[in-house]
Parts: sequence; structure tokens; C-alpha cells
Amino acid sequence: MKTKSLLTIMAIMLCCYLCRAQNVPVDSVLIYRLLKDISIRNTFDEDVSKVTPAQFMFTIPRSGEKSYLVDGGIAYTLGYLKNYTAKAIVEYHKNTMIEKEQDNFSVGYSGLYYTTIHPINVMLTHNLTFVDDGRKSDRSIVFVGNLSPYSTKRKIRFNAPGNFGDSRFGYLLTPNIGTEIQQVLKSLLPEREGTIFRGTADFSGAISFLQKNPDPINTIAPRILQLSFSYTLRRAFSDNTSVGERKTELLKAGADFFILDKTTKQVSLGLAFKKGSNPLKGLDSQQYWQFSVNVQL
Amino acid sequence: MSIENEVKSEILRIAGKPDQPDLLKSTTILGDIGYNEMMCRELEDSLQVIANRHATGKIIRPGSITPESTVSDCIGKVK
Repeated sequence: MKTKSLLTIMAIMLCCYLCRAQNVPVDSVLIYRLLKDISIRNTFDEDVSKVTPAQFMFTIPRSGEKSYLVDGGIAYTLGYLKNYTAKAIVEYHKNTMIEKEQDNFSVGYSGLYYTTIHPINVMLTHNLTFVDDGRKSDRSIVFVGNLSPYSTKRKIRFNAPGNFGDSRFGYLLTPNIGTEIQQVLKSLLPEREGTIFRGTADFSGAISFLQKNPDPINTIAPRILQLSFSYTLRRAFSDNTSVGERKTELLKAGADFFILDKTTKQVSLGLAFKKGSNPLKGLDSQQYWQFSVNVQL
Repeated sequence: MSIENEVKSEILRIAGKPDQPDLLKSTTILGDIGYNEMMCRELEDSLQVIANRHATGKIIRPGSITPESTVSDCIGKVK
């Protein structure tokens, strides 16, 4: 299976290389078009503007258990309608390096609608996914809806990168409110089956220190260092499972050093602190520091 | 203002950059001036407004502008 995947990746790379060598316009190659519609990030439950890179890390000791972190998802853009983008998504969140391990897989549909609720523009992200939590053996159907302001017309910009005047500091504000409906279809413990209805509020943003920009009209200064912050509050308004969920919180703070920073491609080394839980992603309540390689395409 | 400069001004406004359309090169890629997916959707709407105002008869298809599009691609969709 692994050999097959490796051969597929090598075949794609070889094809792209041959096209370039033959001066075939890459735009006309089917594989290139497919790759163009693929995006990779930590999760597609959140706003598209939010900086949430996928994270990968592996430790393969000579003896003993392997440990690894795969925390990300892949989306394929299915199509566009007026103010609407439709995507197919797959996410996998597995972390064996923390106190309470995480093993969560999801697959489904993600939509992004952009409209104006006078006087502000808003983004409505809505996902419908099948979620398989390997640790708790829960299988659920989950709906996530998030509403976030979007503004490029005012002094303070939302969900679009902004600068503090002419300084080398930039910012990104990505707050949102939303709802989560989780229907646990099957569980090892039948009393865990049922419906949980949650309300969510997320306060998040980032401040970056940028490289010098000799041509500020035609380029955006790449980031050198970024400090990010996110606090997500979840409140279960209704829960007819045995879990008895009430309030959960997740605090994330991080520092990222960028190796590559283009709007559509980012690779960084990151140090993150996480405290709290995310029941949808199978992350139990805990606190840890994490150093990782982060990728967002 | 010419259509070309109107499009460039709108591109710069959404990117949060100073309104100096003459300095914006036609070869500049939107991603290189900070465009993300949402900003491309907003630009599509704005370009449609410009095309309608100048009665060019052009229809901007949803999803036709991406962070890989250039400034001249955007001008070409309106003119």
C-alpha cells in the first residue's frame, strides 16, 4: 500500500517535470489542474482566512513504539457558484505524543458562502461530515456552521491580512461564532449515542513581524515570525447522551518561524501551547507544548 | 479613470495597499500581494460592477479569479 502511494506521488512529479521539460503549458495538464484545486490545512471547520497549517512529526525509534503527529486535512474544490465555494474534505488528527492520545478521522462536504448582512460582510462556513473517533469508538454525523465578519473596506480588516501603518508588523483577525450539531450514531457504550447541540465562540488572531519590502505595491512582505492566539469556547445547550457535556474551552498560542511564506504556500517551524479540549476532533482535556513542521497549501 | 486603472485601484483597495494604480504591474500575481480565497471572491464581485458600469458585456464567472491570477488576467476579464 505504502509502495503504491509512493509510486503514485513519483509518477505525478515525473509527469509535471516532463511537461516543464517539453514546454507543455502546465495549465493544460489534467494533473496540474487537479493539484491546483487541492488545499491542505489543519481543519476546514474554521474560516479559510485563519492561519491553521497542517502539522506533521514522526519518531521511529530502533525499538519500542513509533510515535507520530498527523494533524491536518485535505480539501478538493468541487466548484464555484455566485459567492459560494464547495469542497470535499478529509481530515485526520492523530497524535500519539501527548498524554491523552488523539485519533480522529472525518470525511465530508464543506461550503463557504459570502454575503452581506447590512452593514457588514460575512462568511458562512458550513461543513457536514462523518466523524470516526478511534479512541472512543464513536461514529458521528456532524454539522458545523460558523459565521465570521469579512471586511477590507474599513480601517480594521477582518479575515484579510492588514498592516499597522507603514511598520513591519502585520495582523490577521479571524473571530467567529457558530454552532455544532453532533449525532453520535454508534459507540462501544450505547449510552454515549445521541445528539449534542453546541454553540461556539472563537476569538483568534495573529501578529507578524515581516521582512523588509522594497516594492510594497507589487508584493506583500513575507513573514519572518508570527505570534498567534486562539480561544474557542464551546457550550453544550442540549446533550441527550451520557457524556453530560457542558462547557469546554480550547486555548492555543503559538510562535511560527517561516521558511517559506507565499499566500498560497506556507512552510514554518512552530512552537505551540495548547490547553483544553475539542470534542469534535477527539482532543481530550489536557495541556501540552508542541514543536512541529507546519504546512499550508 | 480608465477601466485598467479602475481595476488596479480595486485590486489595491482589497489588498489594503495605497491607491497608486500606476505603480501596480500587469504581471503582478494576486497571491503575491496577499490575496486569499475570500479576497478573490470579493474582487470577482467588484470587477462585475466595473464591467456593468462600463457596459463591456463581460460576465465574471464565479471562481475565475484565484490567488494565481495576474493583474492583467483581471483587466482582461473586464475589458
